[in-house]
Parts: sequence; structure tokens; C-alpha cells
Amino acid sequence: MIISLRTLTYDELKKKLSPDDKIVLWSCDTCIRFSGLGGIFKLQVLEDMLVHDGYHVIKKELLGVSCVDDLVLDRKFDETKKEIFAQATAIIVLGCEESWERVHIAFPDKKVIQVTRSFGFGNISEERGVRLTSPFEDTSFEVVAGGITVEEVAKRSGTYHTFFDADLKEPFQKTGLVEIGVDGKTVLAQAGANLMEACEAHGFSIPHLCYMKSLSPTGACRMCLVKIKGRKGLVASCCTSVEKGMEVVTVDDEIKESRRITLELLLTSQEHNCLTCVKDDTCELRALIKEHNIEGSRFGRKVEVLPIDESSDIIVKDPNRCIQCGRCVRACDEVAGKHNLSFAFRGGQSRIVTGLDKAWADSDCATCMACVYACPTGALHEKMLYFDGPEWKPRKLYGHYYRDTSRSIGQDKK
Amino acid sequence: MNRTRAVKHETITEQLDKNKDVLSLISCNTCVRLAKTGGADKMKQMALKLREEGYQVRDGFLITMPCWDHCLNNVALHPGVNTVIVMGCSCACANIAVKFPGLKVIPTVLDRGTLVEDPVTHKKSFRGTKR
Repeated sequence: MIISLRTLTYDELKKKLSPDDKIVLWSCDTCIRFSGLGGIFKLQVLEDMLVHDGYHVIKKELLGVSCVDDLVLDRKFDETKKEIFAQATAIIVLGCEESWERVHIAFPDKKVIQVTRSFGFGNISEERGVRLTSPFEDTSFEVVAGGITVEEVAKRSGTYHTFFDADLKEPFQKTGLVEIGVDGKTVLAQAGANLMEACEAHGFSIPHLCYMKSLSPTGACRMCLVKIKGRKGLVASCCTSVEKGMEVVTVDDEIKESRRITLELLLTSQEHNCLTCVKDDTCELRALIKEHNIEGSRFGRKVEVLPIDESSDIIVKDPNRCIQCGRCVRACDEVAGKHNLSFAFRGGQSRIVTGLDKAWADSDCATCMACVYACPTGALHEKMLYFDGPEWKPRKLYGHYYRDTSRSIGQDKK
Repeated sequence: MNRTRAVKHETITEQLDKNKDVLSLISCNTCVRLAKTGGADKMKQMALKLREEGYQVRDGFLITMPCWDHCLNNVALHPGVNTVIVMGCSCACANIAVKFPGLKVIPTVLDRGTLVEDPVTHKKSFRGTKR
């Protein structure tokens, strides 16, 4: 993993912008996110700060891996983005130096602003934090067993390991706040904001499976249904905007029963056997099943077993564990920019396919892992294998697979 | 992305003792796979070659990113293993050395670093590491 630190203060960043600039905020979603200086939450924070100070942010762009030429160019020439990039006059890149370089070369006519310096490669550890273990030759850092903390790197290099919001002397008050009622309490939320995020921000937990902060909401899973006074039936909170005076009920017996039925139907739809699933306790479906005290389904179970696609070097697709939330499809469209995943067939036969129903390895996958990071169940997971015996045969490695709850529940760990 | 190049096979075997060393292989499945200096197939090739030459290769692990604890925590080495052959960049080796103190850690690749491109001349060069 590349270790990059921030070189500009927020004031210095603003000096590089003009009030007329139409700004695109661009972030890589890999190394820089783990360094705490990028990813969807940091994009949001920077957008809020710049908009508060009167700058014109026209788009936030999150890219799975931003140091790869092809992915940057795919994003540049994406039909749905062309107009945005045509309008943009400045791009602020939250990424390593290599990322910035790729963007700078791809957009020679724009002001592409670099905000980080890369110091080398390092490790991420929950116990030891982020550490620089392999400094670049052109830095003054030496190789130290176990690595150097980012705090130390920042101190010695005059850079910052924190994000721009750390530069603010006091947190700014967002504009456009309105009062809404949630479960009988009055809270402040930004008009037009995502209702589910607004509720979560005030501690009202709303279960969901298809929603992910970095992706566009679709309201497919029906788990986040809430009641809004004056509206008919139950409403998907992930697809509803905050309006002044709205009164929301996030949980009551009817909503609970609706969620239970949804979960039971999901259980019947495919083979969700946790004993043979690598996701284990990192599965979001399993967490919700447990939370709702569901021990089985009242509905008949589908028994058709679908073939597992292990053709990719790095990703395993097990359609038997898919709940068709569509997060992987949107991640491939919106984060990877590859449009390689899609829904195919209809009704009960509906499933996620790669390319035009090709094997994964034969498809246009960039192996950026955006889909894997988005999958809430074991349907898409990293290929981690154990080999032994005279034939060196592979076996699935059960253990700790990736899950970043912060990105699906709308809170930033960093 | 850390670009890497493979070291000579003899350089690896020079550091091994056929009688004393019990080997486990760990390969990264990200950067080195893309650089074709590691990954499942390369690890199998190396494991079978070392066995043919009489080395005690016990097992192997293919891990998404060994520079990241969340992945490396999946590696449960057999108690008899005293040497780890790492098909991963220097930061993978550094993490493995911390995770498995006291074991001999032998890298099979050397860092080339990140690929740097001059925005004007488009000339590409590597920005290497001190490892």
C-alpha cells in the first residue's frame, strides 16, 4: 500500500482555486482511503467545506483504483460523465502522487491540484496503525523494522496525516438545515439530504442491504422502509430526500414485520448456509437475520444450485449467496467505471452476470475489487487459498474477509 | 502499485537449508500478480520446483494483500514451519516479519517502485524504494 500524506493546508488549497472554478473532487478508493485522506467520506467533507466557503463543486468522483491509466481514461470518456468533465475547470485529486499524475496527464486542459506527497509503501494494521515500511529512495526516511508511523512521517516531513477538516479552528454550521421529526423527536437535517443518512446521523438505525454511501440509492432491498406522515404506505428511506417538517417513523410493529418478511424471502431465494461461507460474521445479511431474531423462513426454499465462478485470479462469484441488491453492479458502473456487471434474465431466474454472461476471467474486469468491497454477503469475495499436498491442490481459506461497515452504514471510521 | 521484479531462483535457494528449513510460501494476489512475479500459478511453480530440488515445502497461502493485517491474519502457519518464502513486495515482507517474529523471511521479488511519467515528455521511470 502506498503511504501518502497531505502537503497542503485547507487555506493553501483554497489559494489554488478561483471563485469561478467549477470543481470536480476526485478520489481513489484504495490506498489513500486507508491513509485517511480519501474515499467517499472525505470527498463529502471536502465538498461541504468548499461549498460552505462559496466554491462551486460540480461533482464528486470516486474511482476504485486511480493509479491505473485505463481506469482513469475510462472515467474521462464515460458517456455519463462527459458533460461534467467538459464543464470542469479544476480537479482536486485525493490520491497518491501516481494517481495525481494519471489524472494530470488525462486532463491536460484542467487545473489538476495535487494535495498529497507519497513517501513509499507500508502496512495497515488495526493494532499498529498505518506505517511506512519501504520509503522511496528520494525521501529522507530510513528503513526501520516494523515501519514508521504516519504521525512521525508527518512530523519529520512537514506534512499532515489528518484531513482538511482538521485545519478548521471550529466546525462550521451547515446551511439549509430544517427540522424534521423522527420517532417523536425533533432533529435538524439538511434539506434535500438522504433521509436514511439523516436518521442514522442522529442515532436512528435503519436496516438496509442495497444502500451504500458511495453508490447511488436504488431502494431495491426494501429493508429501509419507513413511514412518513401524509404519505401512502411504506417508503424507502434511502431514496427519500429530507423535507422541512416531515415526520418519520423508523420502527413500529408493521415496519418490523415487513422487514422480517423481506429477510425470510431473501433466505428462501438462495442457499445461505453460513457454515460454508467465507464471509462468516462479516456478512451483512447474517447480521440482520440475527438482529431480527429470525431462525428460519416460513416460505418454501429454492434448491437449485448455481455454478460458482472461480475463473478470475482474484474474485470468486458464488451466485448461490447473492441477494441481488445490485451493489456490485453499481460499484462496477460508478466506482470502477467498467460497466462489466449487470442483471440478466427475469423473475426468479434473475442473476448477476459478468460481461454478456461470460466467465469472470473472460470479461472486462479490471480486478479493482470495487464489487467485492460492495458485496454485503459472500456472493463476491476475495480469492484467498491454501495449498498443500503433493499436487499442491488449492482449498478455500476461511478467515477474515473484507468488510467495511462504515461505508454501508454511513459513518466514517477514520 | 508497487512494481516488482523476480530474483534469481539460485538467490533464493542460497538462503535455504534443505535439512533444517521447513518452508511455507505466501503470495500476494495483487501487485505481484499483476507484475507476473507472484500469484497462484507462480507460487505453484516455485513450490513444486523447490520440492523437486529436495527442499521441505509444507504448504502455501494465496493472500489478497499481505501488507494488510486483515488479509495476513488468515495465514495460520504450521508449527513446524521455520521459513517463509514471500512472493510479495518489501512491505509484505515487513508485515510478515512483524507477524511471525523469529521466522526466516525470504523475498522472491525486489521492488521497482511506482511508475512515474513525466507529464511533458511522457518518459516513464521507476521511483524505487530503499528496501
